[in-house]
Amino acid sequence: MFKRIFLVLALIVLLSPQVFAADTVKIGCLYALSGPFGVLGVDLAKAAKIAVDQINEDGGILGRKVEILIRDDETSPSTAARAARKLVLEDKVNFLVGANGSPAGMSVAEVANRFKTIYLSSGGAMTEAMTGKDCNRYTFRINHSGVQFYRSDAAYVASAFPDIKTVGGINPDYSYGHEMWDGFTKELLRRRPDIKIVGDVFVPMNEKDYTNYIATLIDKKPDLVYCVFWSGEGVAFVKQAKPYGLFDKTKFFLAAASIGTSMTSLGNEMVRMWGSEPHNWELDTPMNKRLVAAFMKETGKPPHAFVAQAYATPFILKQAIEKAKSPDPDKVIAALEGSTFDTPWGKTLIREGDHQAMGKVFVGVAKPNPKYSFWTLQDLKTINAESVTPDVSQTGCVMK
Amino acid sequence: MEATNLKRSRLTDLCSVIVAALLLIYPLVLSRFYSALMIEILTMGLFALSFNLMFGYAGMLSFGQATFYGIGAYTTALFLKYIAPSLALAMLSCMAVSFVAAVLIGSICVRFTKTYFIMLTVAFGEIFYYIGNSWVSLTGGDDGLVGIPISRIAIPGLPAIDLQDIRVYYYFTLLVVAIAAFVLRVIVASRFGYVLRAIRENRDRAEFLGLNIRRHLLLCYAIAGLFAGLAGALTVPFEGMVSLETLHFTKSADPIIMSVLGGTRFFLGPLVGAALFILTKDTIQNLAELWMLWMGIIFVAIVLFLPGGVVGFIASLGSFRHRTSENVEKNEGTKSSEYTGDQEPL
Amino acid sequence: MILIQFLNGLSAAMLLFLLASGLTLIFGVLGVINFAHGSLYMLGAYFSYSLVLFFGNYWLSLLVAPVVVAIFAGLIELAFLRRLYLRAHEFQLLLLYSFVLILDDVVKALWGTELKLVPKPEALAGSVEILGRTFPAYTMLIIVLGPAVALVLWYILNRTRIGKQVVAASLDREAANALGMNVPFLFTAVFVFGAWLGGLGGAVAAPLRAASPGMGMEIMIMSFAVVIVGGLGNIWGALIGSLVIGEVLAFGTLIVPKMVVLLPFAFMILIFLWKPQGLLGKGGG
Repeated sequence: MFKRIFLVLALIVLLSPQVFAADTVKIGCLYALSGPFGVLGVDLAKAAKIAVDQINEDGGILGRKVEILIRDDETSPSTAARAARKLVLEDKVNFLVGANGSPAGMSVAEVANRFKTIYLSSGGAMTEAMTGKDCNRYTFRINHSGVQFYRSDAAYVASAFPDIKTVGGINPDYSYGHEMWDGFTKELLRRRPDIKIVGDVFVPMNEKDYTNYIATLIDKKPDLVYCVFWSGEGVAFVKQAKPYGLFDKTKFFLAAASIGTSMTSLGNEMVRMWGSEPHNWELDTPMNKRLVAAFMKETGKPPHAFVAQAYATPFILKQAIEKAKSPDPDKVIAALEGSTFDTPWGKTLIREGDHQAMGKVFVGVAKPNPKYSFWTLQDLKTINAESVTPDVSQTGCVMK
Repeated sequence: MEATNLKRSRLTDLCSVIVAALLLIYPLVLSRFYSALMIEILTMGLFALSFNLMFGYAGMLSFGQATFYGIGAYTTALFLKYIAPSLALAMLSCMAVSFVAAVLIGSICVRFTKTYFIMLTVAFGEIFYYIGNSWVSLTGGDDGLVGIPISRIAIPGLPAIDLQDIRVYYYFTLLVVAIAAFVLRVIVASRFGYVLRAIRENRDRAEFLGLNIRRHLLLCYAIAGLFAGLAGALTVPFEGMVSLETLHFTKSADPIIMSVLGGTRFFLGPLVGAALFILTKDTIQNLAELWMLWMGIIFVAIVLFLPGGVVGFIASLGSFRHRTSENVEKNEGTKSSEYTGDQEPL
Repeated sequence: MILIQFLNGLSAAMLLFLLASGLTLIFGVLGVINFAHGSLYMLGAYFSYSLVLFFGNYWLSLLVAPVVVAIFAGLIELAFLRRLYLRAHEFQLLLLYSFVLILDDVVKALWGTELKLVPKPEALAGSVEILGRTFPAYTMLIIVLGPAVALVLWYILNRTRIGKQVVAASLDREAANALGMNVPFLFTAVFVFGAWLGGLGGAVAAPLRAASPGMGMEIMIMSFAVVIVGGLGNIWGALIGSLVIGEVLAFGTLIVPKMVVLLPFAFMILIFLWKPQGLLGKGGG
């Protein structure tokens, strides 16, 4: 009986239609479309789609139409790997972009390397390993590397708050949270050895109730708190912490592209805090204005967190493919390495040695903005990422 | 593999040959994608087979098999990464570790029955998940373990076998799963297997017969754990990484769904269930977002109307003398439960 | 500091109690662990979200949402679960688990995959000062709600006729049947009531944790631990178990933040080894 069933199944499988690649440029796009990080992921996917639509309006890439296939990575490394594999093997995409969360990003980088498909990280996977010890030929990173943020943050905090004596942290308990906290404190203490670290609280990943941890942190009485909870987790954290008085009792720093999402999600429920973003959406460049107009129209929100990076990535691919005159991976890799590209935040170099983009970091304070229904980041200090990024030789990246 | 009557044996043999041939030539005809899918089916099929040893044969419903699946996967990955990139040795050590873990955990679990047993397996599942989560230096925590070296098997005299190639890996998986299934088949057809069935049918009566219930169940649990670990091990070279997902509660549900779907009273039912599950999931995902909804609905239908699973249903259609499991369930716990010779001798 | 942590633990305990009481009640009478209980909790949260939008009033939604969940659960029991009472337990469990899968996707289809934030009621949106520490006002509501529900439960089970029937049926189903009690009706009633409790838990938790697919899984598994620790079928056991585990989680965060989530399950296993019927359970489970 079982044999018969299997026979039938075999026939079904054999006869299933295979997907034939048309003469379009296919981009496989992975973002968190569900779960707590979906707040950001959905916006990133929209930005990517807007970019592809605009590229097609402008005439496509080398005259060919661009197609984008969007999949949910659930910020899970296994889901991301599976979806990436499927995009490469079944849908036969030419390029992979996106991935939310460092674990998902790393697993997509693995798949990219294994199946020799170019992958541009654009969702905010910031672990240093991606362009460091685990770098590979096919993986490029358009979003920031964690170090670019925490060094900028530390520099800002060191000079902007001369009166603070104690610093605490509350962060998600996985590699990213630890990397950022360790990096930030090391850099801060280097500049301000007078500061004392009074508490480092780490919250397990699936824990949605932060209240116990908030109470623990407040109890340590830090003058300033450094936090990298991002996307929906950042929003949830701010909401939960507010009634405990966290933001009145401490100076709160919501770092690394998280404050933007909180500002756009919370509207007037936002509270006073400082933070760093990878983009300043009020910049007066034509590319940025095009992005802001289209994105605001689609979502009613300004480009926050890595939205600009998600938007820029298809454009970067376009520039690279046109420079290489072909979508062939080897040629495009050569075109990407060491080249400078137009992006909404200005000209960006992709470093040859580790494939890391050198963008900008914008640090400031969240304040209400009479022009909009949400708060914006103001009193900005702009830092060039290149000035805070360690040399390739120090990253541990050996490009194979 | 004996048959019950001569007529069937010829038909069964023909079918077996055809399917075996198909399984062997698949990768040559199919794309890499479908080879990858087949690998997943075989791996999950093994996982489901290991689960069904406990459930279909011994009546133990464990909602915590992911523990051993995950332990197997992590052991293999750690071995490959830190000890030696030899897949054979890694898999052997993984089986050993899974077996020992299953013996330890099982020694507590098998003391209890029904609801308490289920709850215990859930509890251990959660404990190991959170251990995996917090022991970051060992497991990589939420990031998982990446960068696992995938070995080449070099047998002197033959060209080196590159396991990175999906098609090659398919044959490797097929070989491993076939051997494992054969071993399980032998176990199930042995005296030990019949004792398990007896315990499932009527625990008290089995005890009165002088059988050591606990020892048999413990051994059953341990063997199931061993093969679950082996299934976990198979995923490592394929994915090139291990994540916490392998230890999660939802992973424990997969073999349960697959076994019930295919048919728990048939030896290869779980394997069929695995194929159906994965193929259906893939098909639905291409058409609609909500595959879990449809899977759930199918499952409800199976539970309510086709307790013998798909295989059971098809078998009952035929003219073979064949009982499905319905009668047995209804009589469970009461005196006159009939022992049915319900194994499909495939 | 201790006080705030203690209060946090108390509120977690009360949420757990809302779920655990329903779970233990259902087990006590129907003899099955409701694997779909977390999904009922999730539905409570989502209905609360929609009803707050519909009524514009949090309190009304809090009243209505659990009832909707209860009705829904009643339909499931009548249409599906009933058919499996004569079959082995495992099938009931599997049926319930398949509803977990179904409902997760249904919720995604109806409400989308993004987190749904439920606003707190105006009156409780702020904070209260306790001994110089700031504490959310809404959480105080949860702390008060728990004992209130426990009292209502006690009253129903001990002072009303149907309540006493429920207790009788949980002690000995066959005897209850023999005495002429309408056992099938009791089954449905208990399942519905248990679902009401679970839905209430979800509606109460929604402003704190937001409604999202799959939100019920973890708290449900935690409730398993509570129910085992307290003793399957015992409501007071559920209360004690909730308090123990709620506080263990709260204070565990201070002492062993990394391993804190393990503690309830380690507890559960210890109870299994020492007194399998649970702290307040009778022998034989």
